[in-house]
Amino acid sequence: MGNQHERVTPDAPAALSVRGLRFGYGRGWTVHLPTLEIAAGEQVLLTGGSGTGKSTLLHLIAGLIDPAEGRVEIAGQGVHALAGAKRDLFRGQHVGMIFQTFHLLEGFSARENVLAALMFSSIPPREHDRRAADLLARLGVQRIDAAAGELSVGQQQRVAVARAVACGPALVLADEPTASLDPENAARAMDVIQSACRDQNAALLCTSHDPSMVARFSRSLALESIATFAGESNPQEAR
Amino acid sequence: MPMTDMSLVTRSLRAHRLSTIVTALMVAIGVALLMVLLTVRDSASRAFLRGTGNMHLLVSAQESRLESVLNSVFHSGIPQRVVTWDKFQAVASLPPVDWALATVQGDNYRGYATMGVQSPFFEKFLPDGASPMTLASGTFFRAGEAGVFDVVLGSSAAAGTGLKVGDTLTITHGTDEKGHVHDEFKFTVSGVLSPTGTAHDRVVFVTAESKWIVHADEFRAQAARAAGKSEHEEPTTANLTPAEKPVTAIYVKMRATPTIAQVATIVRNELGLTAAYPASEIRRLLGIVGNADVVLIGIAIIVMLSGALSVMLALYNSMEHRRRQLAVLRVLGASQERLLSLVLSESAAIGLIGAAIGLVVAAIAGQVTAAFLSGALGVPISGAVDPVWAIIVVSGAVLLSALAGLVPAIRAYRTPVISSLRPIG
Repeated sequence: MGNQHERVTPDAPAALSVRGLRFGYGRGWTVHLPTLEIAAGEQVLLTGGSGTGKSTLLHLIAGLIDPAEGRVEIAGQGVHALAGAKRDLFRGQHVGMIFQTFHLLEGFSARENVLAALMFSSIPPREHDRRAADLLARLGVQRIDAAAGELSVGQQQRVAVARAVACGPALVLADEPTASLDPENAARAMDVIQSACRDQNAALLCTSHDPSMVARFSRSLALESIATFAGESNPQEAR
Repeated sequence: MPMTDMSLVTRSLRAHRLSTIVTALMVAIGVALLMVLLTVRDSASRAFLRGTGNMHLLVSAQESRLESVLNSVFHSGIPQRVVTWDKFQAVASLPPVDWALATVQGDNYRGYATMGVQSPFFEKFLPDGASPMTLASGTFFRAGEAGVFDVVLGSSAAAGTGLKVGDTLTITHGTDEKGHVHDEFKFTVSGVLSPTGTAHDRVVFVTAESKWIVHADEFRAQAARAAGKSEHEEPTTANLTPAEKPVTAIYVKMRATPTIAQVATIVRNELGLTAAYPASEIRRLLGIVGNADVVLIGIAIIVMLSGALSVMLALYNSMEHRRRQLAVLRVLGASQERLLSLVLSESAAIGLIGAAIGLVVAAIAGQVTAAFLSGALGVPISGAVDPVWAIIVVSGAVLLSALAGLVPAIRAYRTPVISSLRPIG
């Protein structure tokens, strides 16, 4: 497991490396993803119609579910080779997740949401407070001690981003982060996510079904073009 | 402050404030009930066993041994039958007997039992088994005729009547059919005893001689009237006949304990009297009462169990609302085991809060109950919470609550991460 503060160097291991991944999805659908590689610090957009298994792929990469076969490596570590608590801790330290609905901890302040993520990091506890405050300030969260639920939607999104990058992850997974936002706010939210990842040297894998996102990324992949599907019906119909 | 498991637990307890308070109170009620019962039971047992002091046998003419002990050691009720002076002397002169103390019970003075004793009583009888009665003020009975109507008050009797050394009191004994008062006898308080922590604290001690004189005066007056005389000889310590010196009970101590049974046999078979082992009579009584204790303690344990059950239900129900939060913690790096331990810590914390409240309530309720029982039973009962029981009950409550948390904790452990994080709506 890598050092939290390591700098990205050309010979650093890929942030994400997927090989021969096969997983079941929907009603009897199997997705086969031969290869997917994301370099350290690289930002990749994954497009695809709803129901193609983008979310499931992110859950697989995060180690929340197991594939039927294949290998997922994050910063050189095979995710599914780790079991139980070790995998959970690895995810906490090396993978940041951003959801469409922010999933902030209820009753916790903005600062405490970030501190909760830092609980599982290898950063010494005495540095947690400062790191949380710095991150939130850099991301433009103004009332860091207000209950997260009292903040505006935009501010809540910033807290969610701060929480995702708090532990200095190698990879940030963002699952349809802008799906519920109007175009103007979606653009603003993506600015925050992308700059935060750049700031923290984290690679970003972002899913979206919004074609206008493509321009923001140096590389965008449609799941349909990099994966093959096998099953009873067209994936677009498999809901 | 960095976030820790402890801060997650306290945060969650505060987030569910009402249910935390209610469930903690349920636990508290069980703990308080159990603590009060255990405290009062133990201290009542101790108080009863304490009062028998260093006597080996209680000899009386009562039929029931237990009743004789309750009458003559705990001053509850008055013995109905008496031991004659000759038989008292026969007991006192048995070779194994170290000392035999005659007691004469009868009237009450303003609700406090009076007991006639002879001077050696204060020196020989050790009410708590270790030390003789000591004076808080004044003197024991003065020697000779001057001290015949002296009174020595037990500490509670002194406090309850407000009498102090030098005060006089009148004990009028009996009225005849025409309702007119017989001769009056003036008693003087010579001393007040320090507390002994036994039933003897509630006694007004008078001399055995004064009891006999008061009774003899009445009998002689009746006899004189029956014989048609208007005058009768005033009774004095010198002219009392053996028949005028009845004894209600005899406190007996042997020179050596192995001879107790032998003396008891002689007393029963040759003298036709009752010989009771006070401590074992009290143990027998407590054994009978003990069955009621067991029921009460059983109820307290059931209350505690239902407290634990309420902890379980409250936490279990809250798991539904917390699914999302638990799933987020998993995403942030918490393992299933960590969630299990968080919920168990939460239920144990509720148990600890409840136990702490319960102890405070028990400390207060124990004093109130003890004060009530002391008054009702005439035995000083301490309401102080026993630290050993406190540790046992508190650990029990915490353990029980933690166990109650097991079911919700397993539910937290099994929280499905992905389905709990689906966008709402």
